[in-house]
Amino acid sequence: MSTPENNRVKLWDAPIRIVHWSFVALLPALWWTSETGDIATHRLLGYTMLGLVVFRLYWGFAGGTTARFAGFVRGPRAVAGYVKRLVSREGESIVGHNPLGGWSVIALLLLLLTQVLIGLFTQDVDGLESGPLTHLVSYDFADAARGWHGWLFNILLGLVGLHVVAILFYLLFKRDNLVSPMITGHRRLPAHAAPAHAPLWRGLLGVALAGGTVWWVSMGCPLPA
Amino acid sequence: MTNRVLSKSVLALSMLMFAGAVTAAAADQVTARQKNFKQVGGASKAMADEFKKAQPSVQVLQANAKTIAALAPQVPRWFPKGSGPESGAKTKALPLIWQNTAGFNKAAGNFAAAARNLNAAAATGDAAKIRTAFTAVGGTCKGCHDTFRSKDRS
Repeated sequence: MSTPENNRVKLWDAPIRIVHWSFVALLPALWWTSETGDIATHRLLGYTMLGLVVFRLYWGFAGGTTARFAGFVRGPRAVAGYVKRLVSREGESIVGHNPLGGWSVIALLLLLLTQVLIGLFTQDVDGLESGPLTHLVSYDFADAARGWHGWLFNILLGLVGLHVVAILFYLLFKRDNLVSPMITGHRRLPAHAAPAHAPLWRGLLGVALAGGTVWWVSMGCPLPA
Repeated sequence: MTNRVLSKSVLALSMLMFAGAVTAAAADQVTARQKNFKQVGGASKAMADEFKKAQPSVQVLQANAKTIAALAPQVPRWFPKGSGPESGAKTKALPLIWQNTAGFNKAAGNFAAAARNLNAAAATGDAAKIRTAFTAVGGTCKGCHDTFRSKDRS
């Protein structure tokens, strides 16, 4: 049996990597601006987060094979099978998200989306600063939303922690460095496993879609009269 | 049971009931205070919502400015002695309110003055002027909250 030659293959395209590392940069910045009460900046960063999440959801349908939800969201049987093999030290060449990690991506994205949506309806403790959509809800709702926004952040932190622990597990136990492909975009894979990537125009369309959504939301979701 | 024991028990019981009544009264004061501040908050939100519109309704701004101006001078009365955290009721009012009465009354006075200005600005019917005065009111809310209210979330 001949082993396929391992080549440096492009695994993650630029949009995936930009979105991923922007999340990493934005989360602490969002936490800090909330902690120090700099709500004007917090709101701007929140809009950026909204745009990124919208883009990533779009990319889950329009992006390349490793970005698409259909490519990595697997049923319980596949996940269970993967978990069984997880404890073995044998490397497994999965192109893109593995069956378990795929669900982690879904959970993180859904949580980020929920968090950013709640933020749109949140008003600050003094009632001076508010998200762009608080005019659509009552005072009590906007006040309560602040509580949920803080509460959900802790859940998000827990999930991010789990994500980091999983990466350490792969690095130390499975001898599989997942971080450098997320930086460079490339990793060694059998040449035939090279994923297909989406053309530039689809990425640009996604940027326009995300930008338009953010603009509309920041204006308070006006409907054409 | 001797009469003495009985009278002592009655005394103890009535003291307990009295203490209970005091706590209940303090809890009512906290509830009333929060209800009042929510009214201020509601009016403030109504104005902020209006400013988000392309064409803010001056009538809505005026009505809510009036509400805020009517409530603002009452603030010191919403903080009777004993209605702080020592009452056992859930409140973010810090004991500093009753320790630094002068400072607190000054902060409350700033709010009342800014609210008066807001009402005067509302009377002009000029949305831009109302907005400036509204922002100034917000500053006095924050000015007092920063010092006299607990930063605990929830």
